[in-house]
Amino acid sequence: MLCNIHAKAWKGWLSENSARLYAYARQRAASREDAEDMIQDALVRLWHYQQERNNAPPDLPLAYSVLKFVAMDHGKKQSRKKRKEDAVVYLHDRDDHWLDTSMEDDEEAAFLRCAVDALGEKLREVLTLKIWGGLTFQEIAKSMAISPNTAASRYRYALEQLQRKLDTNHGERHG
Amino acid sequence: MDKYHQPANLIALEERLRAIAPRDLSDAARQECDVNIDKLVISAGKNRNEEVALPASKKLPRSWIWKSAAAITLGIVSWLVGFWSAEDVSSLDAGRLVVDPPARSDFTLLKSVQRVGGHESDGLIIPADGSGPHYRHRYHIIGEQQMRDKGSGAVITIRQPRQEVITVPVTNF
Repeated sequence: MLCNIHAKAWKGWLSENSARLYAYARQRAASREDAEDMIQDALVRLWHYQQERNNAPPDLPLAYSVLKFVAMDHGKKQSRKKRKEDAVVYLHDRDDHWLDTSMEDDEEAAFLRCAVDALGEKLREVLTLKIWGGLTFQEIAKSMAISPNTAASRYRYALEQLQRKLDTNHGERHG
Repeated sequence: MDKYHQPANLIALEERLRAIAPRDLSDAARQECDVNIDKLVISAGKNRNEEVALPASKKLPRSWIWKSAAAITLGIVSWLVGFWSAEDVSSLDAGRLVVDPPARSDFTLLKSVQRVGGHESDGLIIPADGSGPHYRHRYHIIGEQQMRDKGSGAVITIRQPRQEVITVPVTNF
């Protein structure tokens, strides 16, 4: 009976947050498969963390923190693997972008996706957590072990950079 | 959150970014997650059942062990003190262990007492010879005998310090 309650709660939690978690994982992973593997690993770790809390589903900041550590571990493994297979050429599938490609026709959306992808890691992480992760600055700060003001500043810088690129792009297109 | 309020152009950009929503997990990955959750939940349930099914001896709380050890130690100490401080035949016997009056002595044994002067605990001892672990307690005991010379009526007190070492074995589970 208790098992069913836990399973239902966790599946509900995952269903509600999978897109957010995926967005975060994807911006740290090289491929869709890697991002999904990272979420699986994070899920197992989160379950063990939550044993002390009666196996209740975790809050989002904790989930992002765990996902970040999983991504770091994954990154280390990948870099080792890549060093071993240095001769192999990796082709990136552009459809496997971490943002939705259903708006491919929208030129500005496509430009924006590339611009977000080109942001520095710290700025991109805060932007992802705020826009698609559904966290407040307080929660982002907790998750990234920075102050809320730093989180807000990074978010602001990210938006300003994107805006500048959009303006430049707009100017170029319209003469 | 007015402190973090953005200018109008950036608010529009925020809306634009929200509109390009990220993809979700693939169906295969979601199914795998659900299977993982089921496995974790079942595994946790099994562990709980194992805990409940433990034999009675293994379910005893850890504090019980400490309480038992303390009770045994106290019991032994009080027995020792009671045994040696009582002025009965037993104490006389104990006194004779220390002072062996000469057979033709004119001294009369008035009193034989063993006093506990101090206590030290060596803590948990794990012997290298493979024997069982135990707690070791050292009791500083002062043996005191009082005797009177029949002829002169003089009373002589003899004090002899010694050390009693008591070991309390740790129960193996």
